[in-house]
Amino acid sequence: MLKNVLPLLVTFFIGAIMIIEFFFVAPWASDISGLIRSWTPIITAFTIIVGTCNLLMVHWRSVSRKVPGWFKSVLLLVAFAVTVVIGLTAGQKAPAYVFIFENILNATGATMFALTAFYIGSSGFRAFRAMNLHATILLLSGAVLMLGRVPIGEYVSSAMPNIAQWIMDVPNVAGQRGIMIAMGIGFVSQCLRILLGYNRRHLGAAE
Amino acid sequence: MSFFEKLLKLDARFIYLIMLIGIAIPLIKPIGLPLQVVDTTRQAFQEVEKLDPGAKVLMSFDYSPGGAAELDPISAAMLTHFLRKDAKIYAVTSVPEGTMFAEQNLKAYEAAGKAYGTDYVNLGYFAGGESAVAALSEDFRSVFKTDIEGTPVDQIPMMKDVHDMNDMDMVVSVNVGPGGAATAQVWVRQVAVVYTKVPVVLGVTAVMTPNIMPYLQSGQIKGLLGGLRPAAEYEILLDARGNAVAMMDAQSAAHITILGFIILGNIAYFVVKPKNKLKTN
Repeated sequence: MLKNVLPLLVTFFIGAIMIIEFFFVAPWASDISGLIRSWTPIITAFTIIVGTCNLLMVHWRSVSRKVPGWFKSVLLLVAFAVTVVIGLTAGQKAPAYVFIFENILNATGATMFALTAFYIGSSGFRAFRAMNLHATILLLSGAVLMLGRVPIGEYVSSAMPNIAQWIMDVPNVAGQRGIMIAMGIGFVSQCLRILLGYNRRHLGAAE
Repeated sequence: MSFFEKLLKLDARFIYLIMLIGIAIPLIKPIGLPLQVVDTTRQAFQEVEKLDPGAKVLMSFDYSPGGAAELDPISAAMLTHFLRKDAKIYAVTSVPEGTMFAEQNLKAYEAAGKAYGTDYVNLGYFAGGESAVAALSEDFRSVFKTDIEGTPVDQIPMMKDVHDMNDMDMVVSVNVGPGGAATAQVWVRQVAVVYTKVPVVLGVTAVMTPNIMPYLQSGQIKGLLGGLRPAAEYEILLDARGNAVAMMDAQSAAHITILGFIILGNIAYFVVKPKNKLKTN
């Protein structure tokens, strides 16, 4: 009873207050919803702690059981310990912390992101084919946008940036609006299902 | 095996090598291609121009190192503009690494002789995504008790008259998108739509621009800078050419190389396809 009904009642009660607060002038609902919203950063901060503990446990287990690639887990644990110790003892402005951020975290993050350009180049060569009318339209609009978004496109044609902007402003916005409206309707229906208890996956139910 | 059949089976490593060379050359020796400023960038620029001296700007550095190459130039260009307008900056972030990007970018304020706590403040990271944005919009103190140095918010001079989002003159989110943070759409839903007197300007990656464009057309956001090119255009409008302009040559080279591969791949495909059909028949 407590395990199944209580979470559903809490979900319904909080959801109902949020809806009342949004659609009606009800100071009592505004007070309660404001209070509940102020809890969110605290709850999220705890989930970060839980996530961190989970990450450490998983990698500690990998090291202790010497699973293949365990040395990568050692690297993660050492990097984690060093960063946390420096951050907590010396602060975020300490030269050591700034060094880690600029020369390790920033550099590796930017590298990972930059790799996508190489994959796009390779996949464009292998898979982006004008096989039919739809694919050809996609290919041509993609090509115009790619040229229109960089200075070299202006050498091909001075109209290129404006054509690219037209594609972004008209066909793109039309399609995006359709997707957004459909998503909004889907979102409302999904929220109602959760509030009314038809969808219980967040409580661990199979469906 | 014909030339085109061999071309279709080209090792991916050759493609990566050509891409690398294509991007590296303009980075080593920039060409300095001229750049045309488009209307969307001018619109964002004009919105900042409207600010009065001493205007309060909430700037959220919602990006991690992955998006920094595109988004950091947007932050830098906008902060240069805010500095010229003598605006006060309230830096926050919904991404843990964002605190460091705020720190790095705010050095421009420090270098200009602005005082921490009076002209700019770094309030740091807030957890909680959309709900936290709603909460801080209603009451800053419900989310931020101290700045990143641990100074209580009530002891920071520039926080004295700031209680909720209505006290801001502009909100800027430089945003990398999904990933547990407050996305660009969150700032639209929780700030632009609710606090209609506070103009919201968004800086996003190029890949996110199509998703955000409808909010600009509807007038819900007052400015949109999508990717590196608008950052470069912003630098041109400021007459302060920096990293973004320098990187545009490399982006031109990358786009041309990718387009070249797409054209080459299609030529090879259409030359080889009829041959394969004949063989099948």
